[in-house]
Amino acid sequence: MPNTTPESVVAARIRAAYRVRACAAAVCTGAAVFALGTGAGMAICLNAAWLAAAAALPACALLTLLAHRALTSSRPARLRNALLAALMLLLAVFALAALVSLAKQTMLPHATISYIARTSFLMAALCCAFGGAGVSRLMFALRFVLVLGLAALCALSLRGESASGLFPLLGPGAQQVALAALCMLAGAAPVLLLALPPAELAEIDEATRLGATPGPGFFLWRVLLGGAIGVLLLAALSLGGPYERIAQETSWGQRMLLARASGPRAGGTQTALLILQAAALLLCAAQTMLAGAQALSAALPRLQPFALPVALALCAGLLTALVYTGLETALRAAPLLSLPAAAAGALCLGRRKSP
Amino acid sequence: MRMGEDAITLTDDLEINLRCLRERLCMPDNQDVLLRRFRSGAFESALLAIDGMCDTREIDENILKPCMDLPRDAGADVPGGERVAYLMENAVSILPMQMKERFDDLIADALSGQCVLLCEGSAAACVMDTRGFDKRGVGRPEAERVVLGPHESFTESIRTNITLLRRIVQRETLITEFVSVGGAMKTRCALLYLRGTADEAMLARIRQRLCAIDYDFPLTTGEIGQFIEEHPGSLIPQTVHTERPDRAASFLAEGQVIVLTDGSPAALGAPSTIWHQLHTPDDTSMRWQYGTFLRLIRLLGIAVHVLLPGIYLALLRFHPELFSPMLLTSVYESGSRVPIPVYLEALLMTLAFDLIGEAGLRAPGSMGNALGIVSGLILGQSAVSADIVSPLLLIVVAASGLGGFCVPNYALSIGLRIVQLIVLTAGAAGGLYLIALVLLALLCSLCRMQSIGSPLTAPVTPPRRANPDILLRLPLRRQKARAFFAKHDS
Repeated sequence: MPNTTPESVVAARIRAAYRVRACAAAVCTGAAVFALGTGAGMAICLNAAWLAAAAALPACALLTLLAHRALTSSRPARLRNALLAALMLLLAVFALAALVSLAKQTMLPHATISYIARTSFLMAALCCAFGGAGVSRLMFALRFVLVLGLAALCALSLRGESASGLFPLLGPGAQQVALAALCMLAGAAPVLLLALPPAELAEIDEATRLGATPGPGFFLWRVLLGGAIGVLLLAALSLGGPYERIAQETSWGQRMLLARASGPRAGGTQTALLILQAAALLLCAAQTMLAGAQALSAALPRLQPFALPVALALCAGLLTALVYTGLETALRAAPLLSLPAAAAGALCLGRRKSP
Repeated sequence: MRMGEDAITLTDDLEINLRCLRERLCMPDNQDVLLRRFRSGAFESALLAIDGMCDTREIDENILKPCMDLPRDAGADVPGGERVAYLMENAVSILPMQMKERFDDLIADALSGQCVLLCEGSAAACVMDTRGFDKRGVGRPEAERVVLGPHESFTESIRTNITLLRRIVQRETLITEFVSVGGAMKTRCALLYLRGTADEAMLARIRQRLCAIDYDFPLTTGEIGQFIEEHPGSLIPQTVHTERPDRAASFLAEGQVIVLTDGSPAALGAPSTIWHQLHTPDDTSMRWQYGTFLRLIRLLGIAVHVLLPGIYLALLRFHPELFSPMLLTSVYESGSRVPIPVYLEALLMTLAFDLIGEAGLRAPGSMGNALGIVSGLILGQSAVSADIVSPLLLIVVAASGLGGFCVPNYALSIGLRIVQLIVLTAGAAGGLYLIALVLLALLCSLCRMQSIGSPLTAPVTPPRRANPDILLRLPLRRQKARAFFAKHDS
């Protein structure tokens, strides 16, 4: 017989909100790992990018534990929140840049980059305007579509049955793999959005919320699963696109294409896959933008009514700058996101005050 | 006590009371009002009713005749304040009776078809239910037809509708509350719920929103639904309407509140989820395999309805490589003869389809069906022959329109038609990429919506405890949980 007292129902609702949040963090992590892997990872160590991306998984686990520590603390942390705001907004710009680049090089080759950037940003801003609950819930609802769809389509589009694409296992060498692994650590950065309580719980008082917050294991396996999906997709990409072919690709968007054996833009399967990639990146951008706005309002309470417009304006400005300086700049700079992520993680280590 | 139109409560002077009622009811200009003075034993009485709204035979036989037949000295020693009660005990033989003192209440009751008995010396009047106006009988549902299951629908009479519900839900916990809503013209609404099943907080929220309606003429449940929903700017309805008593009964069992209004042949169920809009009674009446299959077909129809024209346009303009060379040649060949841009062509055809649908709906009787078929055939054939549209586009629009008829909820189907036009425009402006982005934004908007405080997309997202009866309809023996918005300890 299930426990259905009002207290247990509130606890169940808090748990459901955290489930939704953890799922959003997992999807963001998967999208970031995959985008970083195809961007920085493959540029450095070619088909061994998936191996380098696996280094992001322990980082994901560590940041999840730190984020959980921050979540269960009632101590105000303005500096941490300010850093989180900056990190989340940079991640949002990174995801948007990846989205625009992907669309330009695959689905809309004849459209101008500024047109694609404008429409993509507009849609991300629209998603943000509907509120954090809408984006998180949508990510939760689409989790199976995004995860299983990507995996299934990836597997279906593999032409060769041999696993030779994965070899040599260390790509151009252990040194390059280690360097790529260092760059891939930034893929774990979206996990830090777990340090912010879900917006849906704003009406529940802090003591109740803190008392009913699930343990770290609740978040850990979901986030690791998200990251692992990103790693597996990179492995599948290596299978589909052998060493020599990946080496010839210098553009990010082209490297993000899966099922290369079937040729670029060669069928419905590939297009469906691209749409799923685009969906994951858009949701990741919207979710991190909202998390940035939430962290901004926590860091600067006076800014609370304008936090989202300010966050949107900052992202729009950065994206516009990238459009004019070249989206590849975001690709090159993306690994540096691990620095603010590490700093924010370190700030989560502050002494905990029990509710 | 004030006199004239400002008077609030009755006095013990019958003459003053009648004068006040005459003024308020605009007599003698208003010739529908029946105000009859008569002698009832040792004192004078009066009866107020509206002609045509009440059963005059019942009034004659059960009120007027017994009162006038009383001996001349009957009730001579009864104090003024107890004379109405005396008549009720000794003369009147009508069951539902209520004592009221306020003019507003008495007038409202009289206007709803009840009759009011006043006595000399009494500052209270008795309201008796003698409603006897003509009304439509219980008919078959027009918009929610089913193959299996009952074939009766609500009528315009609130009393009949409550009876229809009570006949199905024979439980002592079924509560009916009457509320008058609106500004200048009050509409009588009934709030029905199962005590112990419906959540009190949600019930209080609905009551509060109903009482807050200040619109002058909220006539139907559709209008009332617009006032109690949280997101008036949304394309998706946040309450569910039904014309079927069996469906309304199932809503009650789930913990929803039913709102009925006098004069509206539909019930409003709140809170609701998006899944309520996609289910039909047939899904549950049939075996689970059939119900699940029908739901999947319905979802396919909705996807085709919303997406097909937009995807066709996106493929043609941005992703022609996805067509086979043969098909692409045929599309370009037929398209080359059409003088207007493909977006305009698709937009015109989609709007023409909606036009035919709307005209068919409004055309009288059986003309509607004939009109739809004739316009579809003639317009379509002529448009292709005149090279105004390409034949493939005609097939796409027809298939999409067919999918639209799968939507079981009429309000939702109109919302989806608007979404179809948005997707069509997105397909023309940015291909499959923009369609995907626009759909994500629309889904975000859907996921954040609430219906009387309950998430519209729950129990799928956010997750809530629920029966396996959402997209798939699994066996009934596995459906033991009550809806997530029902009372927690029920």
